[in-house]
Amino acid sequence: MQDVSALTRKLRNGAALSGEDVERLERIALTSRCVPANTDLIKEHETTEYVHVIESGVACRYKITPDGRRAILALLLPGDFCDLHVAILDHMDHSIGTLQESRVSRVSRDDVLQMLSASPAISRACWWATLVDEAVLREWLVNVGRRRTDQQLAHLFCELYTRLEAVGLAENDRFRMPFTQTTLGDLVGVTQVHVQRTMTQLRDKGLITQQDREIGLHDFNAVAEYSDFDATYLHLGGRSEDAGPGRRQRNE
Amino acid sequence: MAHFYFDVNDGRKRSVDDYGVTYNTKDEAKQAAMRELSLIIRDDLPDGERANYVVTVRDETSTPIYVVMAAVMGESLLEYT
Repeated sequence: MQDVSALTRKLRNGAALSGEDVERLERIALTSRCVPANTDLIKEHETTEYVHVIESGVACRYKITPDGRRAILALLLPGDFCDLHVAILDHMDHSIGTLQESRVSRVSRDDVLQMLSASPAISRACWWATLVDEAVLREWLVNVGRRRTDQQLAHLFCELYTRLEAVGLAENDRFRMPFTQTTLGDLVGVTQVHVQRTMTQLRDKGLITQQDREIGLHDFNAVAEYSDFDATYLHLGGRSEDAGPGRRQRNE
Repeated sequence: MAHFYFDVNDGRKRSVDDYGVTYNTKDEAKQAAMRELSLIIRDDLPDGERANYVVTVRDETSTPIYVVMAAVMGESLLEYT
């Protein structure tokens, strides 16, 4: 599964890509460069001629509040287009920065627009990716507004595992958390103290195991049920009529 | 920069912080304790109508340096009992 770029692996979930489409996408990934951790790819209010794609590592969309606190609004994992918006919109309404050392491709706005008009399948796949981003944001709003911190973290772990698994970067209900515990606080809007206390509770309840940054979901279905996680919003089943509803329950 | 520990007593369970968090100043640690108190109450409503929540901050030598408390009370008013 690792023979093609993360971008191709991700977009294959959104549309049937031809050999030619895959070649187009692979050419983009060839230009990737290494970006250190905690480096901005683009800042709020900036305008740019480039779109970024995460090939490995992780970045996030974020805003800084006037009192200096960071709110993370999205996680950008391998295969994710960071800022497809800038191909259409003029200025960024948020910043994008890496959370750990990452490989990032930079594609010119013109090349993106050209690729989209040349291939209906890629165009459709990018549209799918943008719609999924919106669906994730909706789910995060529910998370921040309506769930307890322990459920928020459990939900986030289910989502991370499912998204990483979809691009071949996690298996057997274990994954490497691609950021620090401080970042977890900025993701769910609580203090580091609270994250630590809540992680202890999740471990004590036997829902997760944690060894440094490696998180194990003891029983994925149990964690999903605990946190009200329903993978439908990640839309990984494609639109084939026999795919049925999203996989809420697995391994059955 | 200093390390601080945050112990919590929610009336049902006393939990001792073994890990701690690093803050630049004692004031930041105090604020964190206050915020933690509000998050605990948000996440964890009391079983009954009364509850006391206490967060104690210890410094690197394990000496308690600050405490924040909140009492929650619900009471039915006479005409509605």
